[in-house]
Amino acid sequence: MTAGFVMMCHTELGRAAQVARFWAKAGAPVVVHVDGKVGQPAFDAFAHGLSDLGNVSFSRRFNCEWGTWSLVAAAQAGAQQMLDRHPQVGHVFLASGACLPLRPLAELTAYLAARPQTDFIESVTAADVDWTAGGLHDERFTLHFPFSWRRQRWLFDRYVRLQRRLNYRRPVPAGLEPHLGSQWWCLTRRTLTAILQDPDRARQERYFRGVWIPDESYFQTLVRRHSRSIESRSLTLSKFDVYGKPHVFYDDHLDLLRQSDCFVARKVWPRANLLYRRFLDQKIPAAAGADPDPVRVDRLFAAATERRTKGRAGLYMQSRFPRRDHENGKTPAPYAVFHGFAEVIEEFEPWATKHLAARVHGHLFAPERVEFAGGAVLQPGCLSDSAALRDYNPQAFLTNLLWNTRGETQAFQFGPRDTQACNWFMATDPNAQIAVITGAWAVPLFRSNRDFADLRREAARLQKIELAHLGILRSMYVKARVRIWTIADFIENPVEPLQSLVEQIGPRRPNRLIETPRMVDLTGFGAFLQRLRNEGMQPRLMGEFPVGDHPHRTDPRQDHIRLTT
Amino acid sequence: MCNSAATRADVFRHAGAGRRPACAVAHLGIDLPQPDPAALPPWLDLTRPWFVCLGTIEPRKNHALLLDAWDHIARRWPEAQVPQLMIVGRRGWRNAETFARLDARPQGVVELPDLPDGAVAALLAGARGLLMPSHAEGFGLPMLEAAALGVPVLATPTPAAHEVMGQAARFLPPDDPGAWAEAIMALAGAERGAMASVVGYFQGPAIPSWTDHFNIVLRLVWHGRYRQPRVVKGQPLGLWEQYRLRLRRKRLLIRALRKALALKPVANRTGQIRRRDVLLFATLRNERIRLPYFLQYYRDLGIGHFLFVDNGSDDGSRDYLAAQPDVSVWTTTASYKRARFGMDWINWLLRRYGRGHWTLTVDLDEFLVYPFYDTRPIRALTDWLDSCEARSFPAMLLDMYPKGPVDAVPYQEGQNPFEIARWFDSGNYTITKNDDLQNLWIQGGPRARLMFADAPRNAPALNKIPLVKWRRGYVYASSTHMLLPRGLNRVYDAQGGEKISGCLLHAKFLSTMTSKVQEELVRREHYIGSREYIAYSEALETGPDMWCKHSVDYRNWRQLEDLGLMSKGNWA
Repeated sequence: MTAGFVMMCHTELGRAAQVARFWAKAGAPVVVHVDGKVGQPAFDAFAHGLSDLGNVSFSRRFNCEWGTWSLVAAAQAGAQQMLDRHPQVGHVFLASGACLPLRPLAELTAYLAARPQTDFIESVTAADVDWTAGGLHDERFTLHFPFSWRRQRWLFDRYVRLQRRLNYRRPVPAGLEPHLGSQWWCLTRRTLTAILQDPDRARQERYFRGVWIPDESYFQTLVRRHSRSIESRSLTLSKFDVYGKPHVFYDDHLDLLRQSDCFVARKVWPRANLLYRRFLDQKIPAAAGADPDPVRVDRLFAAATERRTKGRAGLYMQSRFPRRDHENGKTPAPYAVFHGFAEVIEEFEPWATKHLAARVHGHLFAPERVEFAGGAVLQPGCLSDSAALRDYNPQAFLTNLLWNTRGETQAFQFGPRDTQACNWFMATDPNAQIAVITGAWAVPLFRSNRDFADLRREAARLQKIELAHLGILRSMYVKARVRIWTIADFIENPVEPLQSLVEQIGPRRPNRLIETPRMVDLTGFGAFLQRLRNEGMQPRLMGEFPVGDHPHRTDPRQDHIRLTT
Repeated sequence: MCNSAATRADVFRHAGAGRRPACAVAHLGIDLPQPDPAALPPWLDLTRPWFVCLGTIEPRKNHALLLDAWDHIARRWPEAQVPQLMIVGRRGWRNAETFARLDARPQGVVELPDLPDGAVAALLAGARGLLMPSHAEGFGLPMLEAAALGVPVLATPTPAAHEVMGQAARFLPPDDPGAWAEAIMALAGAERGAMASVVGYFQGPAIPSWTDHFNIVLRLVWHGRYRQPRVVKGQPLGLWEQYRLRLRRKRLLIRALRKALALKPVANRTGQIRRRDVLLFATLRNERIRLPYFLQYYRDLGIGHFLFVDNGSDDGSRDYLAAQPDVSVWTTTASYKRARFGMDWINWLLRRYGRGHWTLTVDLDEFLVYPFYDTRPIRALTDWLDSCEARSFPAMLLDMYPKGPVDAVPYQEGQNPFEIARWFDSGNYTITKNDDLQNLWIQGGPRARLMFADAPRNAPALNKIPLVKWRRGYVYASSTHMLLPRGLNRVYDAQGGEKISGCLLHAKFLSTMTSKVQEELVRREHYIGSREYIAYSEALETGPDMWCKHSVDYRNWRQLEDLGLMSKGNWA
């Protein structure tokens, strides 16, 4: 017993001839169907090129058009010819001209010989299929399709629509349950004979002539009537992308294809010279009878689909520029925003750098320049510290910074003096951890020696900006993790907030006590606020500071932060 | 016609399997309601915060949940603090239980039937939030109106609400009054000033306009069909806009025909072009030293034929090209600038010889890198693009530069320029969308960083679409940055996925540059008064080093893909 191949050839006849020769020389009979649309001179040249091989024959030529019965008719004719002329054939393998055998014929024959009763054909109940592109699922079986989809698309669509409107349904013949599947199958002589000699064949054909894309359903449906043992998978490695187009194999897939241990792959780029040379070389020793295992191929194409549909989170580039709120991740990784900490805590940046597992920047959005960590002028990705460049597109600046430093958590200071353009972006980004001490912007004013009228004006301005920002942070659209303390609450007990920060971002060295940083001396701050009030401004964000000049607590109750984890 | 995809899904569900009526989705437009506070009833108490619920009082709208929520709030908060619930709408049907509860006048609940539109808008504009606890919605017009006014929306997660609001609403379950009470109390407690500022910043969901709506309706009426774009690619074009862009495209084509009169053929071998060849088009002037490597590079990629316009070279470029077997050359001494920097000439050549071919339009210092270009010839790419029905392929310009002064290492003829200029900026590019032609506008890189830091807006554009399956009527609108018809510019995915893209490695910053800059400064034939070249000459005088310690050494295309500068899309 051997396998026989029915090859459906449309274009690239040179490649098809190579493949036919490969199988024929190894001893398998090949019946070639050449599309009737191929011109006679090209067909003659093709046939002449294979004329030295006794077991290659040509079946009656049909004009093939995708989606129509002609493809099934061609397959039927080829299969019939195979069964009639080659009684030694046990399995008939339907292949295309763009198929490439990956393993020697002997291995396929041995594989099939071990499973003499099994039909290899993907056959899924039509109702359960979700992969058909184009929207026609069960309607393939219940409408009429007299017009060509390729050439008469307009009429095709119209006619489908008309039938829907009229609520027309063709009856499915009794005894048939529509099934769908890949058109590349390998059936036993017994099953194939039963299908082709079905006493009901004329009626079935009449029905399937009207079915849309019958080459994906004719054999797939009828095999359910006649087969004793169906293995619902194709022996041909053939993958389709999200848009229903077959994935193509190229020279650089050589190793992948070799390791897949599949028997036949489709579809191969006709100019993939290396693949054709390598796999059609009869002298390459055979890998011992492994079962097909296309898992790596599956993974490769699944990754491609993932990339095409989801993309890389946080990436904005020439071919991925998501609309707002459709980003699949606004930023690539978590980051922390410290609002007001540097104003209230002495030497906060060095402290945070020392204790947090993050790169701690200064005010990235400062009006003068970008305060990168360590006063750097440039960052990874050649991101510049120029405020003008940053403010030209602040959101791109932020997303660039985060994209360029994937793998390292970023943290930066923020406040009402800074460019506020990214506030909504950060507030609606689940990766952002925003910790706010409200009213902290008043501390530098309090400690400066500027003219009080200036200070008052500046205080009013900053308060307005911070109020606006808080409005955003308290809005219902917030996706970021936001924590807000007033400066009074924070000074009262800084350990808890700091501890939660360290736990959230992660300590640089675990299992260590972390000393609490020193607070700025706020003696007289209450009086300063009162003076602002006296000047007609209403400080609203500081919380309760006693007006009297008794010194506020500046030392925390605890000296150390003890991590709970 | 359906007002939302959610409605369409419902229609299909009711229609049953196998019977799908043709159905277009056209979101309703929003006319920003004009608030008219004077029309509000004078007895309303507008000093306490309030929430609005809009719609006929019927079971589907789920008013009962809000009454439950208000019971919760009344139990938790003192009476003076309980916000008001303004129920705007008439009493409907089959809702006796709710009507009875309303008749009992629960605390804080105000029922307002028969308000004029202006008054509703005023009420909504001043509200702390819009509450939409419906069990089902077809569209949810009030939600968009509220969003347009900057008022927060609390809604049940119906498919329609998700569709029109995206992430711009807070979604709460339809059967959990406690959760609603919490959210309402949080909103009621927020600072009023903060609320106002929220409105200022927040842009909310995309607000559909009636123009969009009627563009869809008109197409349905006129063409009898409307093909829903498979992926939302920008706004559908109105008929007027279509006409305007068509006019612009025609003008460019006529201009190309006129300017092409100045072109004289030197060597025309276009008869050799085979049906499926990929063609390369370029304009050049005095680039003799670059030519050997350029031709070799693109021949290796599998370009079938080269078509050059020589703009008055006097260094032998023309003769060198004319002697090549796979090159056709035209020459002209006309003004490069007045030919729109050579694009008019190229547009004509593309129209004449490019039709039906994949065409690559590049400058002599641009080298195309696409995914797998080291193992797959360009025909593999174009065959694949054909199978995807893609018509154009983007490749961003990536400025490559040497370490040290630009002219320190002299470039030798035939040499790979990226042996010298092998560094690039990996992550400082900014993107904005050009709504007019739908293309992306990319700027950044070393030129923005060093020469345009004080005027980033003027930094050169780096977005390019060099590879196009040319058809009659196509035209490059501005350099190779963008094309008409504008659908060719939609080479990016707007839903978060990645499409395929490449890079054009830019070998401008070589020793050849110094003399080029001097020449161009005299000719003044470049873009916007050669502003870029003036900047270069200033930078060159100070002995520039474009290199910095974060510059990345170019290795291969996979590195560019890892860095996110290009993508394989779903080519694998």
